[in-house]
Amino acid sequence: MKRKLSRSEQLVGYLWLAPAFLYLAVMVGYPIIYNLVLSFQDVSATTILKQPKNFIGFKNYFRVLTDPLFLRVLKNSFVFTLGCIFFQFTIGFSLALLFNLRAPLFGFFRGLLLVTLMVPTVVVSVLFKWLLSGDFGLINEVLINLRILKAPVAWLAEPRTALAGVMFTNIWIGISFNTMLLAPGIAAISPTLHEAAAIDGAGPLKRFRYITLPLLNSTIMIVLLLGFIYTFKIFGLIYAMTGGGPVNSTNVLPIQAYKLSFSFFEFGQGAAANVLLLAILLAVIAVYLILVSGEESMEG
Amino acid sequence: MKRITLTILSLIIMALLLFPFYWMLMTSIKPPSEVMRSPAVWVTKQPTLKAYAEVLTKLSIGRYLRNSLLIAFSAMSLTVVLGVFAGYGLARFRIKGLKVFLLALLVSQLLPDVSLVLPLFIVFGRVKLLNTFAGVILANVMQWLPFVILILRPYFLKIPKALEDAARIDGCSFGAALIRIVIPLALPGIVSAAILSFLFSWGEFVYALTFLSSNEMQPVTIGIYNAIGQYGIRYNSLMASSVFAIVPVVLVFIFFQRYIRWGLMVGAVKD
Repeated sequence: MKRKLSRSEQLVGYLWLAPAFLYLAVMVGYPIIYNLVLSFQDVSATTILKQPKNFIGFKNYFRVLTDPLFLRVLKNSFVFTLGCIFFQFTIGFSLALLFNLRAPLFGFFRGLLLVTLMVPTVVVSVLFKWLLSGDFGLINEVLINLRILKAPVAWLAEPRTALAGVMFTNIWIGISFNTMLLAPGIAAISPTLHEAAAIDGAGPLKRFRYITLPLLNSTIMIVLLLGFIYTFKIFGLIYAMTGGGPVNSTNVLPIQAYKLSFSFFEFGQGAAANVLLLAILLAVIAVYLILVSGEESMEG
Repeated sequence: MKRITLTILSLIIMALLLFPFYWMLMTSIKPPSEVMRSPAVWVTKQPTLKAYAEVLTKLSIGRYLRNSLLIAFSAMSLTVVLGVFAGYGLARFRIKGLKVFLLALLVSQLLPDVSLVLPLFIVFGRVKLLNTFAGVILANVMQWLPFVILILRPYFLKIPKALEDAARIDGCSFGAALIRIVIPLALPGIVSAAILSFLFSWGEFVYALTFLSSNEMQPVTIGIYNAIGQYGIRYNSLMASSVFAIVPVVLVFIFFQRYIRWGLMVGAVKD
């Protein structure tokens, strides 16, 4: 039986939490609110030192949203995110299914896969910049040898192919992420279910469709939503590979928000773009949290 | 027989997936004349460490690595200390509003770093933290702390309170019970929190890019980023720098692999 805690005992609990949560309040909570304030102010290279700053209502939002580039950026963001998720989820899921079978070295392979998640993203950026290079990049050479391509393509320098090149790179990272999160769910499905269905004459495809998929339903939703959140906010990988170019073909919302502030010094508009980015992400995060808390109580 | 086929199949898949690392290493030990060549040289017959010597002398990769080490180690230490306090507090005490605290951690873990960098840049400018190691370290701690608390709490939850109480009855002070009983039992969690926060800070990009304009203080991630422009086509130097930059990752995979998988899983999904 749990006794009622005295006031002082409860206070002790909060004292343990205080350092970390005060830290987060100052370093996360305050900046988010401050960013919101900035988004309604006139803050650019010429006005950044002015105090107090002019309140200009929704003008920053208006400028960001009416910029013809913005629609393009938004479209890039969704193409990038959904395209990456589709491939990394499909491949990651297949790998998780494969590694669920018992065979020598599989445990080792699963561990090794994680390496792509731990390598600094800038390293991945330069490595794939090299692999995708139009001059002597290995991917061109292989594709030409396979007779898929006739002449080398400068994947990241061509506006038509740059987004695909960046997506290819991110999918490489994302496969492990999906395998890692799906594997335990697949392993938790009791083999007796599959055996019973097999006795009843269900082939592997039918068993996948009627046993594996329904039982993994909520895990899959969680993995997809997390994938969306982590992919939609990607900045460094693309910034180091293409800087958002050529001609904005890889410019996604996080890049545009960053460049408004740190390339064009339109800090107010950068803050407004940040708010829009946060709004989209928070909407998805909310769905994710509802799903997770429905899945099991957060009391742990 | 079926098992052998499966192993061979997955060996091929793994080789394809990990091939980029082979190409990184191979490019870094090629003589420059073999880097830009078609058909490509798959295995060099004249391996050389020239590219490594070059990045050590001309690119001063040593300084970048030292800066990375300083930033990542400091960020890791502070994150783990704050994380142990909060993780223990959330696990051991009956906290009113526990759900709110956990929710705040989950949300702040999922927020984009790129949205925080602008307000932090302006605030840091005011309090003179731009172009200091402290500024980047503080930002890194903020970035990984929620994740670390979420990893640590389940470890503390698993330690029976009775064990601690027994130690207290035997005359241990509260602090001694914590250090002799709680911390050792939670050590696997603390190790994985430490390793992950170290590696994440080591690879961090956007805060270092924005807060550190002085070359002298930049970490290796920014060193490599700068070199993309300068050495646009010197891919053997770039790859040699990259090899230096992944040394800690390789070491962790050799010595601590089991600690990271579980930590990543728990931290990424939920507590």
